Amino acid sequence: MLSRLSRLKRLAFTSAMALAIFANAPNGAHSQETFDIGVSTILTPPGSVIQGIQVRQALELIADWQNEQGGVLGKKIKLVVADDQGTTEGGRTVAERLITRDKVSVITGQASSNVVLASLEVAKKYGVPVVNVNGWASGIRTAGVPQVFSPGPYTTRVITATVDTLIALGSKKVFGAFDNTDAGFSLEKEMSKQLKERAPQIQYKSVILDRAAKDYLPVVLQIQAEKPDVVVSELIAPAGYILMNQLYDQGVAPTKDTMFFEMGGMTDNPDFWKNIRGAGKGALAFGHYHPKFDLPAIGVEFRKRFVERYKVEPGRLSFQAADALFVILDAAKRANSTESAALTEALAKTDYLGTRGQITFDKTPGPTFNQWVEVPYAIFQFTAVDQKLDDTTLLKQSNGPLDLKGIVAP
Amino acid sequence: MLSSMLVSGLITGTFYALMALGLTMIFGVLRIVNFAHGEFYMIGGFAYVLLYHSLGVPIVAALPAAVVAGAALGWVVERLLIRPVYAEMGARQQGRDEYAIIVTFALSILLIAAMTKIVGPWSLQGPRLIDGPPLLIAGIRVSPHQLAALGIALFFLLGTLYLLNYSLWGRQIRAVAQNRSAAAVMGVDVGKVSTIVFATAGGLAALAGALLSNMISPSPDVGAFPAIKSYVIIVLGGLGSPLGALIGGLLLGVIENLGAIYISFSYRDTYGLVLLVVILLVRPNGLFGEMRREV
Repeated sequence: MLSRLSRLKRLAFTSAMALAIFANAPNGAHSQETFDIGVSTILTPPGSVIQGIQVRQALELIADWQNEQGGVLGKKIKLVVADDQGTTEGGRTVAERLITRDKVSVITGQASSNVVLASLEVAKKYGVPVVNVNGWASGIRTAGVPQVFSPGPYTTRVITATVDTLIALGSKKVFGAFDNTDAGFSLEKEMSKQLKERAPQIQYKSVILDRAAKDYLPVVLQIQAEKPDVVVSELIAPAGYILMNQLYDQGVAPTKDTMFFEMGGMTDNPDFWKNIRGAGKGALAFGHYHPKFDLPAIGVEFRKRFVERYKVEPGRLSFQAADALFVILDAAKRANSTESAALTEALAKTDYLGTRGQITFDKTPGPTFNQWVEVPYAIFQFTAVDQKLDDTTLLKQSNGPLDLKGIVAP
Repeated sequence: MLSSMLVSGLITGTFYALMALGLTMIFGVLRIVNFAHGEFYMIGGFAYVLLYHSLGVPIVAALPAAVVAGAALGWVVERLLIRPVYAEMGARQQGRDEYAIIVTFALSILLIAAMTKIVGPWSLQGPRLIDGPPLLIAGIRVSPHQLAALGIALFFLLGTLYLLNYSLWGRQIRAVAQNRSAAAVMGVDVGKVSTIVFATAGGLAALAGALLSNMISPSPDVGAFPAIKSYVIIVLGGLGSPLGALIGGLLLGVIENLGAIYISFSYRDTYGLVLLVVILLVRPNGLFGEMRREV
């Protein structure tokens, strides 16, 4: 009798446990079936919304594309998108929320340096990897956080290419305009350093501008008085558009005496020509993608799918975001896991053919730590208003010589 | 460069004054601060840009249409949201200021959100009034568009000041501004005057937005900065003083430009605030403000 009672108790206990497990099954099964990736990007001002949108478009395209093919490790890719507004506070809050509330195992999508910098400590605290899409500032790398990886642009690469161009142009006087962001300060510091070391013959002046300002005329008049050979601008949209237009309105640049060099990578924004008319003609530009790049097959396929889906040519930010997500998926496959620690370990050993080249992460402490050192870039010139990127004059690819013969005076 | 800076400061100041004039008129007549004033500027900019780019409306029609859009919005806002301040809050008008602050602030957020929904968060450059290379006038370089925009802004600015001082319409506005109840007793339709003032303010702000749309590329949040500057100007010039708005605007434009060059561009927006503090220490009611006493 006793043993029968005991059996009944055991049966009741087991049934209750089974019921509890069964009742919880849908939630548990759901979390097992998706690979949750946090996307922190700019969807509303004050950050550059046009950048956030290009990043989001690319990430959503790739997630859908990979899900059509069965996802990763049998799990569907789920993007948990949050708006960091391109601000430091937004970056920190969003990273914390994505990790603690949404339980993502990796974060990507950040389109500005201050947001990546804000998420460094959060990534370190929780051991969650961050794959930085567009944080250029050196501080992101010099912090040496092992969970943070950068397959996108970085300060020393951008400035080295810019200074090479300024030297090749035979510039004697250069004026630099940077915005008051972490990337702006970092680029300005590196530019001063490299010009002093590599081209002391070039007279250099610079200014840090508020990215939220709507009128840069006092600075434009100052540049006019300085009469530089080249005006270099790192300002991103919309501030960069305003500066370019005001320089053009005042007849300062681009002119036959003063070249304009756009270093912030905004010339392939889809709204570039809607905001820049004559001011764009003759401008030199720096970018991390050009349609004349010799793309690997995955890059060609990405470009094709992007044009089909969004009816516009992808810009460099879309390629950067694509590479960020592809390296995450590659790491998950190699680690055979979507857990944060395993992903971090696998990301560090990345050797992946991305949309624009073979991606590996440098281990040298300093400004290239966990950075794709050979991230490609291009220098090109717009020779007409409304000119498509395909039709611009390509002056240099990262692995090729700088050919200034094609430059046309504005 | 000094002369260029002064001229460019005066040009910028003229647009500031155009914005501030409407704001000070609203304060003078209705005794409220319109926190959605910057959004009238944004609406004007977008109306001009979208009419031209999306519907192919020529500039000569798009510009007045933008002004009408701002004025119409002002008219609707006054009738629907501001009128209850006076009509339904009783003779003592308790809670009037709180209501006005909340309702105009909420309107500002609503208009930004609505415009973001309609056009997206993009910025769009407006067309030039006149295209062409910059002109060199007395050693100062000015673009033809800037010159044309300045001319139109000055015409509306001085025209509004003239009408305020010398027309029946202006006398009615000034009467309501001085004493709302007495004006009503003397037969002035204070409700109608309030509507006209709000519509005029909306139209002037929209005009500023349209004229500057080529230089500043409107985006849904573009109104915040000019609105803040307008608040500084109307306190600087004296609350409710149209002449104060004009002088205050020009002064702010020049001080900001000189400070940006001779001190630092980084603190450009603070020079106006420093000027404001200095002026208020010397003249607590602003440059042209008057002491008021209510009995």
